[in-house]
Amino acid sequence: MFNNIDIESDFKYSPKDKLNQSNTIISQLLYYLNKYKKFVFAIVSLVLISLFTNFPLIPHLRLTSPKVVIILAANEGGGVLKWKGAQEWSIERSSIANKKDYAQRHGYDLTIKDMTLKKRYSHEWRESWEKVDILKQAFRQNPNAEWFWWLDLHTYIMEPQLSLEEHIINNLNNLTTRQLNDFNPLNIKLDAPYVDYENNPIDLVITQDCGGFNLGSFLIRKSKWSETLLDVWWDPVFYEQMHMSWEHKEQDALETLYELLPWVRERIAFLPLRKINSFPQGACSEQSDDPRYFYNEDDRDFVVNMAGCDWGRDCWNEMEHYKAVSKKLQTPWYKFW
Amino acid sequence: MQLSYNNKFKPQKNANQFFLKLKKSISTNSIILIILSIIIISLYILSIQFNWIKKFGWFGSHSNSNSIIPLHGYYKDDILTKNTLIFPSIEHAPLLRELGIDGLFESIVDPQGLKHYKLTDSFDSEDSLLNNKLDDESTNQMLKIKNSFLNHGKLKFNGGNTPEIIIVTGVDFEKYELSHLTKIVQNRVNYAQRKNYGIYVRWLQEFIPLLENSQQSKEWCKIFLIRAAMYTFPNAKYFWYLDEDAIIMNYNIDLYKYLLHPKALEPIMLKDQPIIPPNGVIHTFKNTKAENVELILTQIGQDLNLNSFIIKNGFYSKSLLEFWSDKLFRNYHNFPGFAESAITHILQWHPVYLARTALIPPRTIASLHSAIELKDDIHYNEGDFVASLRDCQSRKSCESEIDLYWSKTEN
Repeated sequence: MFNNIDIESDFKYSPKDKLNQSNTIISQLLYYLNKYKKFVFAIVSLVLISLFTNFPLIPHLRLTSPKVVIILAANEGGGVLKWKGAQEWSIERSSIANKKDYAQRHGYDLTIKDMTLKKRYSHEWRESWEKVDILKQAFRQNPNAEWFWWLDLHTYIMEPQLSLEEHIINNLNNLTTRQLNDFNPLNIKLDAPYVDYENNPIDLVITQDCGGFNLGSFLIRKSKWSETLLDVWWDPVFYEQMHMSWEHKEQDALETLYELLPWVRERIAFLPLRKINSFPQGACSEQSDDPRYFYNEDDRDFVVNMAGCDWGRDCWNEMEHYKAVSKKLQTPWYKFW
Repeated sequence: MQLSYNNKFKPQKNANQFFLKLKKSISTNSIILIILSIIIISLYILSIQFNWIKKFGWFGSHSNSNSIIPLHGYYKDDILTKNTLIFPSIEHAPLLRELGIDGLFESIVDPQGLKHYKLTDSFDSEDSLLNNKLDDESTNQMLKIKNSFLNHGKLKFNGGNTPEIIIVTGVDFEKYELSHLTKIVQNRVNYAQRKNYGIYVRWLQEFIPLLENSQQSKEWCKIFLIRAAMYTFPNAKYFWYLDEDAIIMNYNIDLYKYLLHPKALEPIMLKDQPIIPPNGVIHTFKNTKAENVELILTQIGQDLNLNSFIIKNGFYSKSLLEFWSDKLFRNYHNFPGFAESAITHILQWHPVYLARTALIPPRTIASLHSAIELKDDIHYNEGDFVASLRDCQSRKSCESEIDLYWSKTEN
């Protein structure tokens, strides 16, 4: 009996046998791979398509949860003051479809936020800035996301093939400026004490148009800084003193905070307007010869923001125009139909 | 036994046969296929990793950092010092009073008739020019004093070991005579030296140019002062603001063990305490943890007592101090208590700050003075840490009170 056991264990642990065993596993695997060659090829190619492309009809595997959330402000006014006409519905549909497609293509999350007029945001009742509340809510709802891209309804992503990471986020330091030396339409004092750009990351990426800060399309990174900013953005004492001059509400409030508070200034960076927020010819009309503001087809600008189109311009026409331009630019050369 | 023995080895025999068969039949194609798929999958994983590195790109060198203005305070240049006890030349007080604010700063009067003082940065060269012209002894003396007053704010600590706790005090040469100012500063120095803390004392008048006009209360200067202390001691952990109307009574207390250590702070934090007692709607949070606390305050009646409070060094407190001393708060007509009204307002409207604030019983860091001995939870008792002489100006007894407590502690 003892003999038997000895023989058994000898066999089990002889190095030669171990080698054989591992060899057999590999060889078995190879055998099956070879046997079902076509099947394996199909699976591998499916996995590749799923991982690396945005090909439709295939479930796309992402190992990382989405780091970017697009916030789209829709239903502006919500038909409270006037009826929503056919054109308004159409604009909304186009804008939403455009962002949905973009988000799907790059694996981002899209949240569409309702901007219906509410009593709590009307002057006498003002409890906060609506944009700020929506951002706070989005932060809460997407605890794992890092960057949030705010887009107004009247925007259109012209180049949906560009991912935000490669277009902006991965190259923030080179694309943005932290100080307003080159372009300062508001004449904000350039130097401020206690501002430490070197040791602070960029948490808010905005653009400036001819009239100053523009919050039609901007990026904000979730951090203790941005949570604090969202908290102090609306303050009743500030509002009481400034509401007469804060014509553009939260946008003007941010300009004031930027000017007064070094810690706010520290983490804001500015992109050239045309990087994420190109204007149509109708906006900034007093400076219509300045190429820094306006969408250029040849340069393939990323996003158009039809800012102020509901103030005497035709939003629907502009939207349809840029939709058509984008479609034309996105048609591949081999497509003849 | 024999049977099972045989069975055990059967599969291996089979596998060997497979292996032999395979050796003949393996096509190079399938190997290439496998290697390819491994490479592609590892590429994908690598690409995720690479993005992750890029995400932290701001750690690397900035391409356009040449043009970036580096961190600085209100002055262009700092005067570096290794001394942890930073205080002005108190003996200048009588002459500074003689010079007056108008003699110390240039001013402009705006159309509404409000006087605004200018913060100057170039007085060094200006003064040396004047020095050449004037040989008069007394003028020279005055200029030296003015220069020392204007340069005091440039001091920045760059020694090796930053003290953990900095005692910050603003002194007012218009309010106190030299003898009392000396006692106030000596009190801090004595305590700080014993405990290896730092002190940061400045004339409150140094901050007058930061106020919009001469109408604004000097009370706001203390908020500017604490922010300046954070710039001067960037690596300190806590800043304890102690008004000039307060005397440290017990030199044996180690502030960290006594109050700042989370285990010491946790049991004495007043949770769910109204900001404006007794009926205020906004209360401190029930679930604030001591280790997250950035601001430690005491209450007196319905007010938050800024006579003595502690603020931690960090993002939240820096942003709070800058927000708190904002122009729009300073100009607000409905803040009768100035900085105290402002912090009462901020804590009630901004949960980011309220969540990091602890209210503690008054006698921990601000036992109030009383003319007769009161054995209660608010007023000074023998052995308490600090005697706070809040509102001594309205009692018109600041100097006698300082004398009283100074003699108690130094004997």
